[in-house]
Amino acid sequence: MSNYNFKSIYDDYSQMVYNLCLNYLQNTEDAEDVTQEVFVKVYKNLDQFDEKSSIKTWIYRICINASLDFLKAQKNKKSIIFNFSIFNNFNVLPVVSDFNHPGILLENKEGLESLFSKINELPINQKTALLLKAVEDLSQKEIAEVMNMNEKAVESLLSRARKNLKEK
Amino acid sequence: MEALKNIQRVKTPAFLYTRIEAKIAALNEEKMPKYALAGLSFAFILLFGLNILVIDKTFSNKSETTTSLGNVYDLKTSNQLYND
Repeated sequence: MSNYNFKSIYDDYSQMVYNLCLNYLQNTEDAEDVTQEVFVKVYKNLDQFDEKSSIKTWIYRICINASLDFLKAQKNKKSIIFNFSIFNNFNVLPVVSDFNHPGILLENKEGLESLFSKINELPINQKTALLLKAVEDLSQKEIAEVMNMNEKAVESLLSRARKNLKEK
Repeated sequence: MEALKNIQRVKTPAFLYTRIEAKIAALNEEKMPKYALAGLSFAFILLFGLNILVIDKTFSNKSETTTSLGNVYDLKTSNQLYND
């Protein structure tokens, strides 16, 4: 068994995971589901954690992967419902998670909602790098570790993300 | 982009840890212990082997019975009616 205690890991990182999920998915229920999934994965794989990176970086990676898997699953579900509705002439709209981010104040809600809708259109790597930099306030070195790439690549991802956002 | 800095940190929902614990407990319950799995596999292989043995024995017995019956009635495979 690893030296880490699961409860203490939860106490130290649950807020970080939940907030990253919220920023990634912009919905409290989805973020809660993915946070649960992240900690179940942490529990299951704690023995395999090799300490090559810090536990924070490791948890960040699990969190990003779980959020991406969730988004992919949701996208697939939407396309199935969409196809089903076309073939059966049902009046079913694709399931869309409502924008529901408790960390955003009411006066900023409109602006940030439209900004997030643009961020959601960015390629996955750009979105991840941008959120880690702008919201999580990680350094480029930390982002590079989390995303398993070099700092130059992260810099280029961030500049492309900013450029793409300006164009939208 | 600066607007993203205005996002506040949110506290984790109450009972989240309890829910995670429940998920982990369910995960552990679902898992079949290795020795039980090994035992079950062994029993299955034994049963399968026994089945094959029984089927094999049944068929071989059947052919023996047919041969012995043929001998008792003195059955011949040739077309000759009389024994010379």
